[in-house]
Amino acid sequence: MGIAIETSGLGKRYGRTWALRDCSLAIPAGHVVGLVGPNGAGKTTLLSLAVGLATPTAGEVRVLGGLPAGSPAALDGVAFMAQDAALYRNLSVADMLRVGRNLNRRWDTARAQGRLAELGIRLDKKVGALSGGQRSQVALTLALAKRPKLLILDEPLAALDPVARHDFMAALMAAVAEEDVSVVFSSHVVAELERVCDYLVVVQGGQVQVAGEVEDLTAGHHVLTGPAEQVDAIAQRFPVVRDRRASAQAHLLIRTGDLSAAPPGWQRHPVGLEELVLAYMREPSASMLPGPARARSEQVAC
Amino acid sequence: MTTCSPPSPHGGSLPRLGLAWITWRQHRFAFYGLLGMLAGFAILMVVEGLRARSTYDQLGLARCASFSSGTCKQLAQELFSSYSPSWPLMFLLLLPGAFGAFIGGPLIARELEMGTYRFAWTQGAGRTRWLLTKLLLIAVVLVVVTAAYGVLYTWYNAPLDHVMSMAFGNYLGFEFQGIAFPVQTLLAFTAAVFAGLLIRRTMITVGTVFLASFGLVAATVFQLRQHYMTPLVTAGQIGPRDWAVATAYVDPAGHLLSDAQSQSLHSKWALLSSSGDGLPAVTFGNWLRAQHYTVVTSYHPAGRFWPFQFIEAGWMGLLILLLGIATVWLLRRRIG
Amino acid sequence: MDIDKDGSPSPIEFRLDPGSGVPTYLQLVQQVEQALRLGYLRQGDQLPRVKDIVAGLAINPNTVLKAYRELEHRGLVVGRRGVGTFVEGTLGKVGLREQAALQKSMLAWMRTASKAGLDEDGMAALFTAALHDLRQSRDVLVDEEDGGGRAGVVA
Repeated sequence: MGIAIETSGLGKRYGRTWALRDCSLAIPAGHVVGLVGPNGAGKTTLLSLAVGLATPTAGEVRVLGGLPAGSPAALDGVAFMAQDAALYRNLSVADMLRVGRNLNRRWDTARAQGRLAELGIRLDKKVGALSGGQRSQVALTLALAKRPKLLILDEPLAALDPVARHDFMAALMAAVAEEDVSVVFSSHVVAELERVCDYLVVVQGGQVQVAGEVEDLTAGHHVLTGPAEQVDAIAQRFPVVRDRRASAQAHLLIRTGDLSAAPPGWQRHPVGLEELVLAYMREPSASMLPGPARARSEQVAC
Repeated sequence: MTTCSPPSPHGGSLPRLGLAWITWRQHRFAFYGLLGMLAGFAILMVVEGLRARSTYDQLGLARCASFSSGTCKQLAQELFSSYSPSWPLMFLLLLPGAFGAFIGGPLIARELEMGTYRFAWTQGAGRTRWLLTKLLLIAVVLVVVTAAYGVLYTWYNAPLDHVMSMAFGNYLGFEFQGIAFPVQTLLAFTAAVFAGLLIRRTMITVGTVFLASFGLVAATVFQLRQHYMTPLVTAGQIGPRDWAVATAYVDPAGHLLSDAQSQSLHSKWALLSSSGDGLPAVTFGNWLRAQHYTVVTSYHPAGRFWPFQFIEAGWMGLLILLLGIATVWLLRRRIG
Repeated sequence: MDIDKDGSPSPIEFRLDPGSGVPTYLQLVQQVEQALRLGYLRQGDQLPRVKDIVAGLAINPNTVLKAYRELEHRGLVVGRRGVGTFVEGTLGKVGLREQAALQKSMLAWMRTASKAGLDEDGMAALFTAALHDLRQSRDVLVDEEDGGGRAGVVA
């Protein structure tokens, strides 16, 4: 398995502010990767750099196993769906498809038309006259018609209602099931990630805070509930990501791979992805990046 | 990770004329607008041109061998007044700026404004190719259309041109009967594309470039153009198609008078002629000659029409090239 | 009412309970087992295709593959490349009569508990705790058997 996106020392400065800084990251191919973080964390910047829309101020970014982002070969293999489905609203769906076909070396017209027919989206309708959900579906159709090896989506769910959101994700997951495509999508909605992502990257304040396979992340974290006065003792044994305590009781989110049993007097609970992500997002100083033990091809240091 | 493409539905290359279709699809309304505007003028010119031809026949101008004196001169004047030469003038100066701004302005600015660049520039064709195709195609269309307009003007003006020799610097003729019009239009177009990339707002780009182009063309026509070459100076008559740019006086010793000196000379004559000391009124020119001054004319001979055209095309062409390169460079480097 | 019937080759359909806290793949595994127990699925039946599940539930295909791998590992299904996944084994099905007898004894226990002053929630809590103990004792057995191998997760 190759690498979908690889960055080293990547930074992007707009004016005086660094939108992304000193980011080294390797996302293996074959995953559905969720890129989460609060608004303004650098998600869009990272994705823009990966598709070659922006040029790095520092460092470099490569896609699909070593192609420089934005190079002709990279543009052929990477499809991008921008936020708000940036399509030409004054064109009909059919014309929009034609635009896509004319801009790409690889294009599957039959697949695109089939998808739209399945969704019941009429080809003669103007893109601007479609509902938000339909527009996203058209944008996804255009992205998939390229037959990309890597599909990058910037906040695809942000503007959608719950039904459209579900339908969109269903369509995306069906595409993943049908062929060998790596997906990276950004979102500030954490709740729906768990059923969709198998790899997670958390960005915060222009830096990568957490990166890893969802399974490893959830297996490597536990919540311990126990007496507040023992917190310090626990904190000496395990790295504590988040510490919530009252006068008597404390909940500690700890990071450890091998917790065979809870310490005496403490109860152990598994941790869900949402809880985990929120905990990291609330504690910007904590970070969880694949350590040397796990580092296969995905060396990360941000 | 492999990067080679599997057998693909339409081969490994971009569809032929694909980008051309997109250019057409996205800019056809601007093109229709351009054609519509020009068609309006063209109809007027055809009507006027036909009318001028019938007036020419009615006046019997065909029988004249020369139009410099006598009845034929009068007839020529009559033909001249039957033309209505003022209406295109205003628009002429506006057209390059208008075409450039309205077609070139939105080309990038609109993509940036609407966010669609994020679609257009992440496709397989790449943004450089996208931009170059659009620039070249639209440039070719602009050149063809404006050149055709020049041919039409030449036809329209032919009867008048035949009977009245105009100085070549007369800007209607200079504008239309050479390559100045297409080149000015191209310059405005390229400038508009470039400005759109910097300004990123369609309407502001269009407005700015329209005004700036209008200013540049006006400055070129009224100020810059006569300095393309050093004018010749003669004390004699200049030819009917030569372009006189200034007159000056040379004193008996052979020195060219400065503006201030000329002014005082004129005041002297005015004082003399108004003092009414019994001398018959004498024209300034004759008085000067009597005082052994000579009147000299600075002019560009008629043969400089094409050199002037090429000089204008040259510096504007250079500017077009620079703007084009800057646009491509900026588009590749700075967006996002 | 809208009935989704889109030519799925499988007699069952999955649903997800996002609030249950049970990992998605495990929910799928449990539902197949449940369907086997209740007789919705029989030997030779096809499980829903990955693409159909994914398109219906909007979940990661790898999750489905993981669930099917788990089921295959447990010997309940077998995947045929390019065709689909089919039911192969059966769960130790308990006879109807035996089920009825078990239910009867449980009912008797519940009456006793009720008399002792336990309400329904209390009974459920006891049941869950007992189930937990049962599972743990089983885990210990498994650990002893194969030297600390992974405990089987049994619903």
